Amino acid sequence: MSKPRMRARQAALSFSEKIKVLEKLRDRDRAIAASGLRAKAEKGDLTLPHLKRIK
Amino acid sequence: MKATLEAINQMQTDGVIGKYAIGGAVGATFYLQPAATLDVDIFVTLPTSPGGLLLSLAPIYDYLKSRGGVVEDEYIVIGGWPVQFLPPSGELEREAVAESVSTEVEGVNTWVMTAEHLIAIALRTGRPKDHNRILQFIEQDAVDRGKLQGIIERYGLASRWQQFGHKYLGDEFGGNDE
Repeated sequence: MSKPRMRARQAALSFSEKIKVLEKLRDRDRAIAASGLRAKAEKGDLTLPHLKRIK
Repeated sequence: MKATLEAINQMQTDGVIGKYAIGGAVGATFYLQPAATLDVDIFVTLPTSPGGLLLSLAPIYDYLKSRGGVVEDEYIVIGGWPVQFLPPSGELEREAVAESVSTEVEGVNTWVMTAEHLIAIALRTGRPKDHNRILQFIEQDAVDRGKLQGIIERYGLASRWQQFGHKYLGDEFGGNDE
C-alpha cells in the first residue's frame, strides 16, 4: 500500500480508533524514553556489528 | 482518553469551566492520520468574577487534583494523559472554542476545534511543527478553503498565509489571491 493511501486510510478511522493509536504511540515513546536507548545512541554507545566490519 | 474526557466533562457540569475544545495535535488527529503526541491541549473558557476579571487556572487544578489528577510541570495528568488547559488568548481562540464540533471518544461526548481554526492557530503560532501540521491538512485535503480564507482575513493572518504559501506551496494555495 502506498504511503498516501495509508495516510488516507488512517485519516478515515473514527476518532475513537485514532485515539487508541495515539495511546499506543504515546506508550511506545515512553518505553523508548525509559529504556535510555536514545541517550546511548547520542553518546555513540550503540553500533551495529556490520558497521564495525566496514570500518 | 475516555477517563480524561469524562473528568473534564464532569468539571464542566460542576461549573468549574465553561465551554471547551480540544486543539493542538490531538485536535488535528480528528481530521488527519494519527501522529505521536505526548499531551492534550484543552482550550477552555473560564467563569469570570462579577467584576469581569478572569479567574486563574487554580480552580481547575484544585478540582482535578482532588479527583486523582497529578500535576507535572504545566500539565495535569488525568486518565493517563498530560493535559494542558489553555484559556483563549484572543478572539481567534474564543471563536475556535465557540464553533468547535461535537464528537465522541469511546462514547464520551467532547468538542474539537474545526480544521480551519486549527490551521489558523497553527499559522499564528508559526513553529516548524505547526507549519508541518498545516501542510498535512492541505495534503490530505482536510480543509474548507473558503472558510479558512475568511478566518485568515478576519484575524489579520493574510500576510502570514502568503509567506507560508510562498515558502512551501509556491503560489498554488497560499499565494496571491487578491
